[in-house]
Amino acid sequence: MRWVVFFSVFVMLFALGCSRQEKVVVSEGQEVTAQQRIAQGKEGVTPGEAVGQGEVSSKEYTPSTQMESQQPSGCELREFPNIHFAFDRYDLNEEAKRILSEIADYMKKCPDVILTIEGHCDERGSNEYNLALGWKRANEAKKFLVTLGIDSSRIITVSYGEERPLCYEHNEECWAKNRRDHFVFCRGQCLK
Amino acid sequence: MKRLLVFVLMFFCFGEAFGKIYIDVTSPASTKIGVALDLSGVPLKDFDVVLKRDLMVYGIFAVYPVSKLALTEEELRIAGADLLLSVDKSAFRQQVKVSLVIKDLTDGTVVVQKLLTFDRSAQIKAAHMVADELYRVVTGNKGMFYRNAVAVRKVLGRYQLVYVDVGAMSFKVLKVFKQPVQSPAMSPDGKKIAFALMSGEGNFDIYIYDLPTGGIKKACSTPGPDTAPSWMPDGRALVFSGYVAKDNADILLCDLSNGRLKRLTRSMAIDTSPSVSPDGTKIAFVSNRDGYPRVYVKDLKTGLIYGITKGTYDVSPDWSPKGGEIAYATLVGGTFRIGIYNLATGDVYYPAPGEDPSWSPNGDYIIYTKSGGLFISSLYANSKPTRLFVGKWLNPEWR
Repeated sequence: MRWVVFFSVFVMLFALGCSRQEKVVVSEGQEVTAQQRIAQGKEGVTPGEAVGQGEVSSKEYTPSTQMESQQPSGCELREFPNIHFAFDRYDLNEEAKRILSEIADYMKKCPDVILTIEGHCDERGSNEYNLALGWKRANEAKKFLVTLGIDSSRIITVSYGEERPLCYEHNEECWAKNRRDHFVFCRGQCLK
Repeated sequence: MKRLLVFVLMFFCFGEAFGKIYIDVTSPASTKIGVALDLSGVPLKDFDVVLKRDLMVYGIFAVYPVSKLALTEEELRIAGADLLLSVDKSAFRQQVKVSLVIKDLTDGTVVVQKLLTFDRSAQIKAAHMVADELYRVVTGNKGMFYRNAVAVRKVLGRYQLVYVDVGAMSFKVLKVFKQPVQSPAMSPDGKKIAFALMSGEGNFDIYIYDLPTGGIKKACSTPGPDTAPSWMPDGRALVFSGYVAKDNADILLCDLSNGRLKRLTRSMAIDTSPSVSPDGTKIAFVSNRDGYPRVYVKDLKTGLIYGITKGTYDVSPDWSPKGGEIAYATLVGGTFRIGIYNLATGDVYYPAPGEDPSWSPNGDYIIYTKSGGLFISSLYANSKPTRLFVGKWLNPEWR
């Protein structure tokens, strides 16, 4: 009987642990959007322009919330699967193009969403080269979205190189998961 | 073999005031130099420990502790000692005096006789001076422990900017960052460290850490992820990988007095990891312009760019301090090896498995990373690599 009690306590603790992990993930997402916001500010070449952009986006903010209430279906911030790359490559495969086309449709339907594309690499090779490779991977996806008609000002690219792996084992299965573009969406207000 | 001969010839070219070369690097069976170490006088803990470590890290000495063995010079010689390093220490308050004698045990001649005076707080530096002096006597080359290395150490997801005393096998954490840090490079005067840091904006820029004050300031920046700074020999400018063209990394020159940028490469490919030659006239860098990352050289006088390595994944070039060779890392059959490319002959040899090589200040050793830690290996002596530290180490630089 005592063991059953112990076991149930253990299960509860485990469940708590899991819920805590979920919270961590959420806060990570918030961190990313905070970075995006400033990264967008950095897109402006001169400080004057950057301030201008900020003003525009804060003006856009009010109508965009109205739009949000007008079209609630399908325009909530969505998650898309990562796209993957071969070792030391940044060309897009068919699967990647399919996912990017879906993203383009979503961005056309919801004109107030802003996309950040994070380029990532596996752990092999030099971290300096991987940083440039991650940037190529993010920008290759951006170029494809632009050819599909998305305004390039709605897409921010960031490279993390090999610094933020999803998977920590040292094998091809893991490396394949880590060679990715990750997509994070936010709305106009994230530019404030 | 040819390489080893060249090394021996270099001893004679340097024309130091000793006619004897102790280390027979031309022999495949070359053994370590036997050094009878006689530490006498007042014990100085840091000095004694660091001197012994230095001799071990050099990897070419077999040390015979005289005080433990209680042997005469003749007996030490028979036991295998070639040289006697005698260090007699005396101290008065904060001041330390060390009488240093290096004696050739085969014929009894005194090769070096010096008196060092230093403050107690400078014990470690003094120990390095003694070890570097012994190395100079044995090889004819300058020592290397007088200069510290820099590196990044990753611990629990944090990035530490680290100052490494290689000979003492110790390090000091200068600063800890939550955001990724890459590629620290020490300025020629040893007072500043340039490095790449991802700032809160989600983008890497080049920063400079000031060693005397501990202050950090942004030095060079472009709209893309800037990384891999390398100092020009005058210390007034940095060469790094940055983005003038929006989606493609080029080698840029950054004037530190005003942050102004000059573009040195133009290609649609990735150009990164520049390393400036010691005379400042050429730059080795990595480019995938021919499909694979390989090492290229740009001649700053003529503007010409030419490829030097032929692998399918060659990265992290580091120009040797003597100027004639470039160390790099190459991926062959799934594992990384250090390659040493000879610029005069085009020959490559592979001294050790590992990544991210950096030359020692005298050009006789390389420091590099491998899974499991930070390593140092002699390029000329017949000795095994030494692991300095365990853990996740990145981008060591010791020039």
